[in-house]
Amino acid sequence: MTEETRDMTDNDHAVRILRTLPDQPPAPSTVDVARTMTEGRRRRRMRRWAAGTATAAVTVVAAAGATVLMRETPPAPAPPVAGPSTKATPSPKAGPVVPVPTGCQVTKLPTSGVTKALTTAGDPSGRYHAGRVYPDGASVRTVIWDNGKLRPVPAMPGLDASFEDINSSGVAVGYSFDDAGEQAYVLQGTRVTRLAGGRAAAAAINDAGVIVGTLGESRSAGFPARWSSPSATPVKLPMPSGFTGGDAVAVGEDGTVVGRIYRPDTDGTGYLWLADGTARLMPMPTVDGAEATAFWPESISGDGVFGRAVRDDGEARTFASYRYRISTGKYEPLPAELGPPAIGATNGRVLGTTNDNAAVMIAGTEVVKLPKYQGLKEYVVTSLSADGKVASGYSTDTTPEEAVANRPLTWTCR
Amino acid sequence: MPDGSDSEYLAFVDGRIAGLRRAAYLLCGDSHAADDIVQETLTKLYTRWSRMGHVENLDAYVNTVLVRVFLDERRRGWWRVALLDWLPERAAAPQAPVPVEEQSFVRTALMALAPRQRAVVVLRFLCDQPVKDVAQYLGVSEGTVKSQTSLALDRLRQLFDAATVQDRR
Repeated sequence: MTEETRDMTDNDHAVRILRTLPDQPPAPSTVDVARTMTEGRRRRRMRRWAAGTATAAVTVVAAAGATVLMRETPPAPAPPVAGPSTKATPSPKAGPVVPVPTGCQVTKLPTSGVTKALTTAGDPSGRYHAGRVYPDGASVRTVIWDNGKLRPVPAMPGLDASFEDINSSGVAVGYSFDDAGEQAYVLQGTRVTRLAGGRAAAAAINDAGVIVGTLGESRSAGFPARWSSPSATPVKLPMPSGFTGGDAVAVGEDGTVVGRIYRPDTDGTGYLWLADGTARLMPMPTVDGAEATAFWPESISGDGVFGRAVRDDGEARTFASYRYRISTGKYEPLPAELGPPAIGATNGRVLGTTNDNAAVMIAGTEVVKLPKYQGLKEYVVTSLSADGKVASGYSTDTTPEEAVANRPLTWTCR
Repeated sequence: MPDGSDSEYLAFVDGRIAGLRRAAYLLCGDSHAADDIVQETLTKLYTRWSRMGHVENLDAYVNTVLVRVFLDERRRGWWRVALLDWLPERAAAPQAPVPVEEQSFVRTALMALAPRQRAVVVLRFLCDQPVKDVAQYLGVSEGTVKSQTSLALDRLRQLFDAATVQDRR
């Protein structure tokens, strides 16, 4: 039947027009094969290092069901790469001691028998998680888990729908694509409704119900925006002159908003809209003795904004992960470079993924690897509860059976 | 890493870059971003090259990775880490003028599709991949590919019609 369908659509008028499209990239190739090998070797070294650590320091204890209990023995060594993260030794004076997570367990969230599924968000209490399931032969749909159980709620309409955040009352926000582009939605109780403001994307909601995101097209042609409640009309957040667009990325429990704003043809940098109504550009951290080119915020927890410093020095682009303290205006380097997002908790723990795509929890200078689910190696993290004990994320390995073996997971630690 | 394996990798990559750039360019509509996607795709391939023995169809595998890299927007900033000093070289390279055709209504319409719909249309009709393979690249069922194709073509028809009407004015 496949061939028949194909022949029919091949003669489609729209397909014929589509095929007039020039398909050669207009600029000469900058693909550097030698660099794929250099970078590939570096990633292999990271994997071997990670595997060695696991064998030496981890005891696996068989446990019931889908849960695997692992105990880690920190500290993990700093990643063996040249670059700013190797020098990232936080000052011993940097705040109270952060409790190192122990007894971490990984659990797959239930999916009603659907193999491919993932998480996209979690709430500050650790009770609610949002995600997507990909049933065979049916459309992908958004789902909510309540205390680890699938909750019967309607799915978000649209394509590529995603709940980007959920609060402690189970109110979730996100966006999907329709004919007009991105459209923001909010789930309250058993109803999914559009946020006001036309084309928009919602990125985050706090426990007070304040929603932030982008009006227009996120990550390229939009404006940072704030909805004071799920039923409110959005307001554009002010930007300094010279900046032409941006996205609000996260909102703190006190109403502080952090985002990334752009000058024309730049990658943008971090900006803070504080709860007192003032706003300011985030300063540039110093990476290896030189000022960073930009700071890209990814999450907020209390006084801390977490994200990456970017430095273009004319020859190289390097990244380093930081916690920025809003009260002091100072950056504290994290002991490992984390892939986005880095997510903080009020007890100082930070969740992220390392260069080898392992899920890790950082406590002070310790980098604790979270247990793998059924031997899968690559993860994306999506949430960390405020107490730093419940994390969520999903696997992204390519296996012989699956192009992308997504499994929705939570990790619980003491 | 034995040299033999490296030369096998180079032999495989040689001659495939143009095709991968073409697919990536159709998917993302920007030649720099397309090169980023190809660079990351080949890096992932090389990282796993020594374990590729059990993969029967390498081209299908590489296409899967390419589509996955394109769709994985959440991590797009992350794999840029891999670019490092390669970026400024690109900035210094002579910029070819953007042909008028680049702003054509066809490309505009294609870019107006949601990423997954665009991937389905590009892979099926511009890269001539069968439904079965497209389903595998995207990690969805063949039924989903067909329904996404139908939705995408409906949308394209609307956009093409609107553009034609505008031209006549």
